[in-house]
Amino acid sequence: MDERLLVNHLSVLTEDERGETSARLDDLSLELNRGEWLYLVGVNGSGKSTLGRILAGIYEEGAVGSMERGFAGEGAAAYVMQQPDAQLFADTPREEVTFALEWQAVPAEEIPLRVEAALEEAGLLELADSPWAELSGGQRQLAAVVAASACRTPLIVFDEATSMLDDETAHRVRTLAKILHEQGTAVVWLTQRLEELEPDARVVALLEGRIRFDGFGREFLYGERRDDRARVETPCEECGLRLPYLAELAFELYRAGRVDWPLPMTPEEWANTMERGFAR
Amino acid sequence: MTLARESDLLVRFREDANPLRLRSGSITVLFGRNGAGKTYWLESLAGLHQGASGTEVRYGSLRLWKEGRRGRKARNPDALKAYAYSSQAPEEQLVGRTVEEELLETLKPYSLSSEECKRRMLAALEAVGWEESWLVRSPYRLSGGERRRLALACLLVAPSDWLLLDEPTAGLDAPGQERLRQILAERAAREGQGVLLISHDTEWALPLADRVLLLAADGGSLRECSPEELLRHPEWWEEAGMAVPAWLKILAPLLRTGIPISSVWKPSELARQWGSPVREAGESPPESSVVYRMGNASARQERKKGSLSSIAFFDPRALWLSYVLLSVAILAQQSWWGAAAGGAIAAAATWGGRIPLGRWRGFILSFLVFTLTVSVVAGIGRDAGGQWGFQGEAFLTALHSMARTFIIFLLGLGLAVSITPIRLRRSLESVLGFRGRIAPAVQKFLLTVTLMLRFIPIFLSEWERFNRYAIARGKEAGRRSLGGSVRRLSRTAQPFLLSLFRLGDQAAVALESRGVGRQKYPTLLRLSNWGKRDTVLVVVVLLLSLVLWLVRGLGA
Repeated sequence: MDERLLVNHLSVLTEDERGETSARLDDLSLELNRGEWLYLVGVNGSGKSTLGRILAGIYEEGAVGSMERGFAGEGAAAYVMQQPDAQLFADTPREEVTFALEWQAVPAEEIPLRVEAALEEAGLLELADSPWAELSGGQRQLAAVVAASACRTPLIVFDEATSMLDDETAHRVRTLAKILHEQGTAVVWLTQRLEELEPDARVVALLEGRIRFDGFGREFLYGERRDDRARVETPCEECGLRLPYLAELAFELYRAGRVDWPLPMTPEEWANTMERGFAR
Repeated sequence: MTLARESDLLVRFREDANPLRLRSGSITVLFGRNGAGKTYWLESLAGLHQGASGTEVRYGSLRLWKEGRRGRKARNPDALKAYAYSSQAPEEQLVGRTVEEELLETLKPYSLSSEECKRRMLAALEAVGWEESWLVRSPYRLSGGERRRLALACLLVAPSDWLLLDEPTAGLDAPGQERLRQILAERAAREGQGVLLISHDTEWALPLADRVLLLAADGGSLRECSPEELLRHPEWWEEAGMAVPAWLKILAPLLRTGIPISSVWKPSELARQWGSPVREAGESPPESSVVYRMGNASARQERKKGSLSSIAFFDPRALWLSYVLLSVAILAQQSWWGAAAGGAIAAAATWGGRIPLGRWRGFILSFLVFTLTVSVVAGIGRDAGGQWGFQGEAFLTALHSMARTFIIFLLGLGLAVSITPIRLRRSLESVLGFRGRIAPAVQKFLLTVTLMLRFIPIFLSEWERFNRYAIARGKEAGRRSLGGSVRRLSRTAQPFLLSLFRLGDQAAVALESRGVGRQKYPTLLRLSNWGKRDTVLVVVVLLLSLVLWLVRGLGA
């Protein structure tokens, strides 16, 4: 049996008030493996949120095409949104996670212990009984992640979950996602923050409802390996996204003959590049 | 633009301190950690909050707040007209049926001639890359990106000295960000407008900035410096509770070699200097960084605290029982003394239980007005002799019964505010459940009610938010006419309703992804046990109600 999650020729059509249809997703196909980590990027209106919801198994009006849920199983997967407030239904982190477990029909006597363990993992135990107003946006977002993933789902979708957070809290949400990933959960990470991408992780980029790029992070930023010291438009720019400052600098260094392929991307690679630059 | 007069933006945090001066014709960028209160501060500069006491804001010679009658502070409409404000997601505020209507809505407070309006509208459209033909389009038929562009045109169309923008690049694609950068730079350089913007996008905002403001994490102080100084002092980020931006951290060794700071914004120049021998860092220019104490950190802390009432520690069932007992006793009162006693009990419970009713002040006041109006109307009628007139007796009778209702309403509101919805649901479930199960229909009903209660505070803050934006756009001062109120209501209601739909949609998605409703019989958790304090509460209230009940006829 194929346990991949498969999206086959899927379109999502919306009809506006004049009766004209437009496609939010246009004949799109994608596959996702068990335990994979996938970055999904694109500008607003590219359809990435719609695809995120589809992958999470949430009902989307106007969807035509087929999908095999594979390892993700029937029913909706965990889904974390940008705004924590609309996805928190209780008043404190402890209540929130309890509420989530109740609906998974976890036996009553197990609930308190499991809630405790989940909150501890996220570093929220001290704030377990504080009302939302006393938590920062990032802490509320962490609580939403814990509640969404409380039942160890095989798949979790983060829809720009860190876009409202500062670097430090964004890092904590990401760390939590990495923990889930290590435990075998497949993670779909939607983002506009290109500095979050990793050179060897899969990136899927959407433009106008179609997949424009499906490959590795480094290739997404810099394009394919080349030897002519030229600066060309990269997949990132083709998708309407701004090339990050450091990537721009890497290109200039490449053009000036100071660095070679593969161009640096991670902080460690940059640190090496800098060291070499000054060793001369 | 009225450039003849001085139009710098001045903020004086304390009476004896030097003011912070933001110069017209320059671009200032505000950075700060999440939750430090950046948006709150920007809204204070726009007069949408009163801000900390002792803080004075002036647009040129125009004070933002004026002493009104009876010492109350009132917004100065002329100062409000000195800025144009763009909130986060400004496209949520579009209310017009056509692009032209939308732009005129922004221009309305300025009372310009129709030629001037037309000229400004065309200039604003041109700035965002549109032609005159766009005027007749409907905002509702625009794509998300186009709506955002229209909101930008609305910001640019106003003849104001200042542009205040909250996270303007969030959600914009690369060409949109580049367009915005060009427009802002041009507005500052050529038209002399002042620009103040909040951003977390350091790569975009720092090269654009003439001056930088760093808001401390506790919202208590503000550092003003140049972008170059900030590059030289990465520790300032950390002092303000923020991480040094990743790109800056990586460049740090390069900057220490004495490379001219200006080349940071020109990667090609930077690349050419790469690997050149380390120079002695030259004389660094004199520093002009100033830290302003804002003194409202404690006020902000208070804003966040105090949301948990002390009566939340009782079992919800005990609280409901107490409420029912008291209500019956208060309703039975026949005399004014009895009603007064009921009122005293309600006041004592609210105060002693630290029930946060302040949030509902407007709601309570309107109920009070309603109470009085009904009583007055009830008092108008024929007297014993058949004469029409105001009947004191009938008025007082009506007032007496309405007053008791009002007291019970206050107690009930307090109860609803202080029992958290999910505790309420659990207590109802434990009453209605049978053998650890509860009928799906009842379950559904309870869930709906709890969610409604849970989201009411969010609805309230959404309403307040759009109401503030309506003030920023409509430029109204404090006291308003009936017409002004109606206009503000319509400017608030429409975006508010759309925002409710979005919230509802998101909540539905979140519930679906949590698997709520997939299980027919979710786990029923029992409440923590009925404690001694719950018994004490019920007994005390029972005695109190009995006394009230016994004396109900006294003095009537």
